[in-house]
Parts: sequence; C-alpha cells; structure tokens
Amino acid sequence: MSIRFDGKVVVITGAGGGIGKVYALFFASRGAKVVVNDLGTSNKGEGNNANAADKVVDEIKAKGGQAVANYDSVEFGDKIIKTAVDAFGRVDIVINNAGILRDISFQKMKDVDWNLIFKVHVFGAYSVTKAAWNIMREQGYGRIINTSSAAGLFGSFGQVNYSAAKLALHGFTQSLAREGEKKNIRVNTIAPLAASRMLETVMPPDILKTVQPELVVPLVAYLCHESCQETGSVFEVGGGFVAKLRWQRTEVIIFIFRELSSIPRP
Amino acid sequence: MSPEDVAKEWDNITNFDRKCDYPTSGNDTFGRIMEFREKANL
Repeated sequence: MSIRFDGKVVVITGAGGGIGKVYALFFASRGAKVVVNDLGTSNKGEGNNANAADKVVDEIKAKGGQAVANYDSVEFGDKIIKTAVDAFGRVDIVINNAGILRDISFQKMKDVDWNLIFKVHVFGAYSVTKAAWNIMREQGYGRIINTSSAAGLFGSFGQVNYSAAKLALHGFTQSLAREGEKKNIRVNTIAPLAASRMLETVMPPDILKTVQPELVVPLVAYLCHESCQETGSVFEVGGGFVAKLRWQRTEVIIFIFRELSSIPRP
Repeated sequence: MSPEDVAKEWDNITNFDRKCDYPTSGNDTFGRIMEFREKANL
C-alpha cells in the first residue's frame, strides 16, 4: 500500500523550518496541497520574518507541488484555516507543530514565560483546530496531530512551563479523539525527538545528526493517512525509534470501610 | 524508513503484549535510540 495524500489539504503550523518544513515537503511530495504557516519568529517567540514560509512554498512549487504560505500567529487559527479554504477549498489534516521555548527555572520564572508558552502551544493548537473542526465534521474526515514532548511526558528541569503545556496537548488529544470518533476525525499526539532550533539549544551537533527530523515524518504520515484508524494515542518518535505509550495503573488495593470515624470532620 | 514501513509494523508498534519498558525520563528514550543506532551501526 502506498501512503499518498492526493486531493488532501494539509495545514502545518511552524512549517518554515525544522520538522515543520520537513512535513511540508513530504506531504507535498505525496500529492497533498499544503498550507505552510510560519510567523517567522525566533525560538523564543520574538520577531517575525515572512521569508521562512515563502521559501518552503517556493521549494514545494519548484518540485511541482502545490502550497500556499500563511504568516499568522497560531493564536489566529481562523486566519490560518481561511488561507487553506480560500486556496484549496477544504482542510483534511492539521499538524499542530508550532512551538517556542522560554526555558528558565521555576524559581525565576515570570508570568510572561508561562503565559507565552501556553499562548503558542496550547491556545495555538486550540485555535487552529477549532477553526478546522466543523469543516472536518461536515466532510466526515479529519486527521489531527498534536506535538507534545518528552519534557511533557516525563518532566524536564527548567521547563515547567513547556512541560505543562506539552502534557496539556495530550489531554486535548484524548478528549478531541472521543468527540471526533463518529465523524471519522482521528487525533493523536507525538513526542518527537528531532534536530530542531529548540533542540539545538541543548544538544551538541554530532548527537543532533542522529535524530534528523526526516525520521519523524513516517509516523506522522501514517497517522494522517485515511487508512489509519488510530486515535487518542501518544507516540514517542525519533532517530528511527517509534513506540506507543499509555497510562498504566498498579494493582488496585481496595480498602473496606463502614464508617469514616478515623477521618476528622469539619 | 518510510510511512509504508510504519504501516507494516503497526501491529507491533501498538502491541502492549510484547516486551514493554517503563521510561522515566526523556533521557531513557534518547538512550534507547542511541543504543539501537549503535547496534545497527548507524
């Protein structure tokens, strides 16, 4: 079976570089029409440079693919989805990939560090998905990928804000998956380990070579394909490694009680 | 590694009856990736 996306419209946030760019080039190479969203900010969420999205669109077009650029912040998901509908008439796949870092120890963290991370990662994913949701429901088809992180799944020093936002995205996935099930909308989370502007800040170049973003694409492509019915799940992926994770519970201990006399009451 | 390869391995990727492990940090995952790459001479 060949995994192709002919006729499908894919919206990828943060697609001006890193994994997002690799997604965009891949989906276009497999027949999809691509909306390349990128505000062009630094990895701290500062500045903006429309060139990032334009360059990816040019690269796709040069190879005979179809793509349009969008330069809006993910806070304005309606504008991003409007770009897809105006250019291609529908939206089939949303990959919530845009992200920034504001790493700092919790002791020194300021409200702005917390709020900016939640605005981009959590509100951004909500805003883009919300704008696409009714379109997907009406067409009875949709695939959504939310991007979490090992920091969200396991914790990471200096990333309390980022960890909290990244695990929030999996909660978002799990409930959306339930709401989308009857309308053939499948929603999954990935926790990628891949060379990116963000990872460059914490890993040496020789190690980064082993986790090229191209090695995240195969899992995401399959999860986005119409043949894949997986939904509400979370996967770790990177460097050729793919694994599904789940919550696990210890053997339950049931305490039999007939009265609450041992617990002080107000 | 391609999407088609992932599709072929899907039952194994999602099968918790096979040997599972219990990662406690992102470093565990990274360690597994590096171990796998070393064994495969990559």
